Amino acid sequence: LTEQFPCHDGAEDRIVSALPGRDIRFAPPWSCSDAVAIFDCNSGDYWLVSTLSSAVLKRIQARALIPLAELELELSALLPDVDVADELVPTLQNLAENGLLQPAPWYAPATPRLDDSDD
Amino acid sequence: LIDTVLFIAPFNIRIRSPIAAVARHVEYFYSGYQRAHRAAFIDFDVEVLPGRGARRWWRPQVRFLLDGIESFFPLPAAQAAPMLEWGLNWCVAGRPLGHLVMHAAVLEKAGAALMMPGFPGAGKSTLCASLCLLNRWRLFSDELAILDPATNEMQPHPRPISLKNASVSIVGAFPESRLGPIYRDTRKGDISHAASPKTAIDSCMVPAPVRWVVFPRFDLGANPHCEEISRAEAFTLISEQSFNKERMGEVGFDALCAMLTGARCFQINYGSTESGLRLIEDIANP
Repeated sequence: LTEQFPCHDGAEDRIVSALPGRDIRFAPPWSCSDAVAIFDCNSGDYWLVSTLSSAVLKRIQARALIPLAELELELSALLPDVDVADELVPTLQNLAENGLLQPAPWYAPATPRLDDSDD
Repeated sequence: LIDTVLFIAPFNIRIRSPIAAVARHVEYFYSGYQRAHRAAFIDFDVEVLPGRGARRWWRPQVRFLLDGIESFFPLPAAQAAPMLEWGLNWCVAGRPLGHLVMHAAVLEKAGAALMMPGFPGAGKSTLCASLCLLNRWRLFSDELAILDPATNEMQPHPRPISLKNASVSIVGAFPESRLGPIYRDTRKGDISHAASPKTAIDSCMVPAPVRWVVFPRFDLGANPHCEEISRAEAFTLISEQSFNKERMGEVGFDALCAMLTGARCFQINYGSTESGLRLIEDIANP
């Protein structure tokens, strides 16, 4: 993936991709809550995620790979009440940290490099 | 001394034991249950046997076996009957495929089921015994909620209600309660069992959809409080209490979602059995 979609600073190169091995199912929408219960058929794990996270996972499940700009555009239309522009990248980071999306350098938290250490 | 196949809905369970206390327990609590034919499919083949070697005479012990395999450490022989009940819980919780099994009390009234998922110390068993022995709710189970994914209905599994410590005397004082012996100093403290009401045993094949999910919390003397919670929050709490969700996979997930879609969910705090009963009845009869 990295070779196919090299990550540069330009937003047009940013690709969001599914984590291989996940097969996510979604609870029906419940009017009493903004959260959505999801389930991975392969691991048997359950999560409770936000509406935005759920929408991201549904889009990724349908496409496997999707450019960030396109994803943002689609979700903004789908979720007019959510500030997608501000919330999307932190949401992607959170999903990656929870093993629900393929991590990408441009939304992964900064990890100190060993050679940058003072020791 | 005992070799019988009981139909404890929805399972056929063969129980064998040479221990008199186990035979007395089965006779006292399970005499009203159907006996399955020997040729019937046996879901669980269990044995409660004495300890081996010197343990037959020196500090005698008791062992629980499923399909001839001993999966637990032995217990003191005096706890043979509780070990049978704990062992049966373990069988039903983890072994069956085809049902989603959760740690919860389930009762029914007027065709609608109430599910009370259990957290330690929540007072679930006392409240469950009170609802069925005082307020005429039909007992499905005090421990194991068995959800049928084919119908999204709860399946009754009536067995003796397990009582611990203070709840033994509370439930023992109910006019219609029928308690067995008290077993002292078990790993759960002093325990006893209350017999399932006859109506629960007679109608053990009549399932019901869940209409209310209530998470009880007992705080001695606390003011009664009831709060409706979202299905998503209830989902998280219930999934923690599911024994076989990994094995049930997508079918179990869909069943749990469908169950919650048809239910309202509440958290209650109560400080006495009376106030707990009142809160439940208010939820069921708004």
